[in-house]
Amino acid sequence: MLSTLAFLNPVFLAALALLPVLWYLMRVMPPAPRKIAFAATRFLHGLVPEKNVPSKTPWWILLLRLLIIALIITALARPVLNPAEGLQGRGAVRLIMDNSWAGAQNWDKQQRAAQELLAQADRQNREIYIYTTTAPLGEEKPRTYGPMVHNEALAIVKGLSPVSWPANYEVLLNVVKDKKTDNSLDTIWLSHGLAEQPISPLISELQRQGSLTFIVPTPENLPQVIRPPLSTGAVSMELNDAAISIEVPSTIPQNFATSVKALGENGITLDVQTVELTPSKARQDVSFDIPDHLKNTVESYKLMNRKGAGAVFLLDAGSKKRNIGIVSSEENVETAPLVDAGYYLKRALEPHANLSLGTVKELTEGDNSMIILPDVAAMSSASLNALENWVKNGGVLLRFSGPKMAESINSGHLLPVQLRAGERALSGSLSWDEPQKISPFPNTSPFFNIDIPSDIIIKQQLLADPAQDLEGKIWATLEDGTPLITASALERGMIVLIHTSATPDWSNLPISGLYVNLLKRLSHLSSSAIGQTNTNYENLDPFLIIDGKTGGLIPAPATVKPLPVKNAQKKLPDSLHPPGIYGKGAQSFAFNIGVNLPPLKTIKNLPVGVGLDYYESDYEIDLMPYLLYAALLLFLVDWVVVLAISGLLSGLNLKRPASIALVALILLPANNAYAQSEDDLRYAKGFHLAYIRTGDQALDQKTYKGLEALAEALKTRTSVEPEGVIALNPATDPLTFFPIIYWAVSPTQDSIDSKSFENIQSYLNHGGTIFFDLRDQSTRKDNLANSPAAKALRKLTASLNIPPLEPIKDDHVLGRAFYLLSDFPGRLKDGTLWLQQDITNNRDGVSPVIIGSNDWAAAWAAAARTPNSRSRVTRSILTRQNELAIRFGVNLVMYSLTGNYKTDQVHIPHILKRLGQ
Amino acid sequence: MLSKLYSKAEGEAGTLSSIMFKARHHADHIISGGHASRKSGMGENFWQFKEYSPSDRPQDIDWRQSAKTDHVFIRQKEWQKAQKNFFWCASYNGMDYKSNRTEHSKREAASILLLSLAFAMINADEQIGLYSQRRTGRSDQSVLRIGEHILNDKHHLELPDTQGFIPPKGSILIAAGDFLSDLKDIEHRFNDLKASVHDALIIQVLDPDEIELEFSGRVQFENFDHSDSELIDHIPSVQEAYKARIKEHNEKLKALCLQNDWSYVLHRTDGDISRTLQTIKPLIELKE
Repeated sequence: MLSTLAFLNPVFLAALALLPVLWYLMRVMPPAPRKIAFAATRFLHGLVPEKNVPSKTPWWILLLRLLIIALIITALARPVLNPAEGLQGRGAVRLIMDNSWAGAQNWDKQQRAAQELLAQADRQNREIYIYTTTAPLGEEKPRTYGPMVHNEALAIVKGLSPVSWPANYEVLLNVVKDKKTDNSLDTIWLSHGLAEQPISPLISELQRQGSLTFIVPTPENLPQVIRPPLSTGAVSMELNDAAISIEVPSTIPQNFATSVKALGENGITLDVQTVELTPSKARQDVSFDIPDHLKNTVESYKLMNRKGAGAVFLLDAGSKKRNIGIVSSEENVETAPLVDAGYYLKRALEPHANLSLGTVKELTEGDNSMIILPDVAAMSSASLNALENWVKNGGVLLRFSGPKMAESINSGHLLPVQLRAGERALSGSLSWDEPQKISPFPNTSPFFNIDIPSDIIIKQQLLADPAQDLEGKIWATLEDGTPLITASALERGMIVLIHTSATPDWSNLPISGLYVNLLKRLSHLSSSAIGQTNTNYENLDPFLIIDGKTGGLIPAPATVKPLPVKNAQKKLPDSLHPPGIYGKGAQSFAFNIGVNLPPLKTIKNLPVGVGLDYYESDYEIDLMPYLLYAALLLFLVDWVVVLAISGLLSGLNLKRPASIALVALILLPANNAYAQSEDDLRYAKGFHLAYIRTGDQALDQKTYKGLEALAEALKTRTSVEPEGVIALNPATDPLTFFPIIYWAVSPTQDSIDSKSFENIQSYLNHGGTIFFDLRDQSTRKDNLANSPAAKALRKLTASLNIPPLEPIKDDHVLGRAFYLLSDFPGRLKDGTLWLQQDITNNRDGVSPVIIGSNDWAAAWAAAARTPNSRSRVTRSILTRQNELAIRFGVNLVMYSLTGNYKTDQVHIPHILKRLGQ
Repeated sequence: MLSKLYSKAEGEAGTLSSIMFKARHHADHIISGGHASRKSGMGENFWQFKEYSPSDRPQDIDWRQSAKTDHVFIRQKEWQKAQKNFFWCASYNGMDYKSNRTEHSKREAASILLLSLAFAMINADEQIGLYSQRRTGRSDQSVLRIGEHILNDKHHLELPDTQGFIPPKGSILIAAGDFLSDLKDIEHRFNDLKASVHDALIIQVLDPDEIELEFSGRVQFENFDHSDSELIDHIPSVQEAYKARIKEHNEKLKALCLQNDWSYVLHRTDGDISRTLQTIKPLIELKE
């Protein structure tokens, strides 16, 4: 493709016409001669040189100089390479950034195009609006920005990033409609190329407001998505089955190859497969060739060379095969398959698990996460003990009832509930009861949301003895309320009992699809112990979410809402429920965008008047800086040449640093001056004691005096020389400059806004220390009393992220940072200090928060006044306590400044001893 | 700024001492030649004991000789009555010229030459002094005084001043300079000098630039008091003419000296100082 050149200020090119004049002028004016002081000047009089060459500038120097001038003139004319087509219209410009999941795949192109458009809008002095198509995390509406100028818009464009869920065009339409425009708004939609939903209402609304142009990726760059396999519809790790499928829009070129990789633990690539897609077969299955033992470790699939949520497909525990052991009869008796429990279990579990049959001993020694114990008669005590230990170590034991269990209820051993002896026959010849159906699973059951076919009837069951804790152990009941499935934890493991048999003797459950679903769900439970049985299974909590830009997993922020189990399978991710890993207890659920996404459609059949353009590979390049650089270089060349001509170059040796410095100065870009407020400068120059202004005048006054007295004490006693005392407003003042901040908590404390919280949190996170003083002795060794100040403190710190605090230990470094202190009295003396101890992070052992309640500021202030006190007795008492308070203050400041330095001093004798050896 | 001044001052002091050092070195070189024999020999011409008479200086009494006899002798040297040597060096700015090719400026080269001679003379017990002061001496101190004066002389003289100072009778003038002044001025001055000095050694010190005009490009030449300037557009084309002119000037200067029965030596600053001194050596021995 031929690149084109255009000038933005072509007027300047007229100045090129002046070049011949300059040529003439430069030819006439010779360069200045060198001057030499010469004793024999007298002898030169009247000497006429035969040649007169250098009196005129050599033609090539002239040419060089003309070139420099021509370059500067051309630069002023602002040449651009590949000039973009001008923006339509004259009014404000609106850019729509397609930041939905598909946007990630061409995000660089979108951003580059946006920046280019912004530059054009800037040159035309037009107002800029920026719209996004998709709501950010935790918000309902997509964001809009503007009107604004180029720089702000540029910052916003650079700050935007794609999300991991689809756009909602209905909401977007409302947002667009909300924009009341007097003038026309020229819209450029930087699209990812897909119409995620019917787009025509949006187009007509945008057209109504002004012109509209779409910029879309070229066909080979259209977004792709990983979906579940076409054949089975669900992702599985089963042999010979397709693992996933890949879908692309049908407008791709013929034989379009794309690659996908299977990633295992820690992101290692297990296999890469390439498929060729054609417009007629735009979605195709992909099978991977992964060894059996590694299949369970596959954690996700990822499209190569693509980014974002669509290019990732996460797997959850449900798609992994578990090792499940089924205890078979210890004596190897040949039984008819249709009456053997193992047969039904095998048929139900085989597709989802690696099954092994064996004795209890074999199975507990093997690598099984669940052991199924069908109706077995009494077991040897060795087997029972082995099984019990296995459960206690985190195994899941699934037991089925049956005739044998009904006969030998061995005192509830390895059972979740006490059973009544003998089975309950519901449709026997001696029974009045009708066979019972299963009632819907409660939301406290892990089976919640499994559909129960209506034709399942239970004819016989074992009944649980009513007990107080029975209710919490029930996972499923019959319609009459009697338990069908019960479970309880045993140390780290769990025992689940199904109160009917694993064979169709007692019910038709084992020959229903529900049986398969129940066992499948149970097998996922077996990933680890659940710990508690009465968990609410209605919602799945977010664990990790997919980062919309990279497709990587990040911890779910608090704004992500739990995912209702009910429609999790059919739901499309949105801004409140981004794709990722959700779960409850040991259950995990991979929420993928590819599962329920409608087929990919490109934007086509655009109405008349809507422009369509493609992201281009070659972008507009402003040549001005390059031309100016070239001019500068040529200027330097000219300089050197002139020096050479006048013979100075031999004298110009590189020992002269000035010339090098000059060159360096020319080549170095100028540094940006960094402005800082005067206050900041003052705070940074010296150490200041600081306190938080509470709004209580008297209290603030007292704190100020106390800190002043402490500063004085520090100055006279230690090498810490505080410059002064500063009162801070956490909302507006920078806290960074103060190693420790004193905060006298008042019950009437002003409420603190969110900006202050941010400021304080950032201060704490970056090494700052806040010393809260409740001033009422309310901090005790065992708890924080419920005093008004304590309440105020709780209110203050509710939104702060503070590590767990504990009462100060006897040997804490606060007691020896400068003075040796055993307790820390202030005006009062019964309060204990609470702080974070055993700090392992890089805070140098300094707790971010120290809470005390002895009203030290008052004592410090008093210490300054004490010498004037009249009563001798009070004076001496006060003096001692105030002196200790001052000492504590000194220690506190030392602690905040030196951290664990003094703690480390303890080891010095040992270190010295070792060094001596 | 201060440190710069300081180092400059140190450099100046270094110049004098280094010149003194070099001069002494060159002087030793001269003496190891002809002068040494004078000390060991007891030639009649040279040593003479004379009976002390009241008109003689008591410090001249040779006590060892006197102790041998009943008479008191003084040790009298015939040459002592002879000339005093007065040194002069051109002091105007032009003497500071130094091209890239040379180690010393003209002033430095001239001072080394003069001081070497001075050292050689005090080693031969001759009286030396500055041309401008009547005071003479025979010690290192005298040499130092001459050196200091030459390096710090602010009189900006191109030729010896004949008005302010009249040397004692029978004095010898040893003058170093570039002698690039107008030949008529020089002749006039020499004629004046001839009346006051017994003999003279003229050492013309020139920079190779001044002899060969090795420049390139377009140069504006200017003399040191800015009274005269000449713009030369293309130096190579005038080089030969200039060389001829300088050569002619030098020859005329030499002729002028010979006409006065003086000695003339040309020293190029890029030349070897000891070689020039070897040339001078027979000239000064001539007079002893």
